[in-house]
Amino acid sequence: MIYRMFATAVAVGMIAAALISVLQSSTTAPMILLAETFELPVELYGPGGSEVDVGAAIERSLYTFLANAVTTIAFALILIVGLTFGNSKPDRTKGLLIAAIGFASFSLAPAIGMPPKLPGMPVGDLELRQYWWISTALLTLAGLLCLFVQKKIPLQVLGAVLLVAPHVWGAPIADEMDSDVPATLAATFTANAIAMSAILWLSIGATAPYFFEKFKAKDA
Amino acid sequence: MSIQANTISTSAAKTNELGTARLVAVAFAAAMLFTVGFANSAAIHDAAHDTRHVQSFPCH
Repeated sequence: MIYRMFATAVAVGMIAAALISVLQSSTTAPMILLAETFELPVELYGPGGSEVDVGAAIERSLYTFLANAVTTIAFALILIVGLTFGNSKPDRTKGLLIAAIGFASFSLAPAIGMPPKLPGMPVGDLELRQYWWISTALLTLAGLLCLFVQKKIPLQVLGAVLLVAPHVWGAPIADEMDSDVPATLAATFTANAIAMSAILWLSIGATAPYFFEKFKAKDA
Repeated sequence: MSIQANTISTSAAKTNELGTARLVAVAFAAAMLFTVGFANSAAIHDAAHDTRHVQSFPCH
């Protein structure tokens, strides 16, 4: 079973990573490069975006693909574990349903309090934001499972409370809101970034059941 | 009787194996997400920079 889960995760993760890396290269990646030109000259992190260096650009795309692949394989593993629960067959409908829960938990809910931001935009304390992100993702996941995966009313009420709790608590925000990054660029980036997550989850949700069935025979 | 006992122990072993596989898979996923999305190392941050921004992982 371990082999079957990991083989499936690598297969669907690589497909999803290739897909979103290609899409990102013509959508979010140019926006990040443009935003970096608005950043303060004292660049503490990351490769600078102002100079055009083909070698550096290829290297950067390669690293982004690798990081995307690790992310998609990790999300695929979580989705595949979801496929093994319940009495229904792990078919595409189930895969897409779990993908919807995964997208809501790991992308949409954290984005409500902390929308995907471009470099150079004001943000709150990094550590606090990381705690909030992790708490929100896990509470949303638990909340959605309580609401939709079982039928006991008190647990469903608890699920609704869990969903709302991190947003009532509130995400850590920056002390100031001003930024040199144009608002329209930032808004476009946020929408594109959330769309990328949706495509990622749709892709692994649609393909994982197929590969999970395919690797079944080899896992005897 | 022995066939029944055998079936029960096989099914228990399968449940056990599935449980282990689920735990291992979730542990790997958590470690991978932590590395890409949260690890503080400058080298990892630089490599995963664009992914962190797009996936809404908290970044600088």
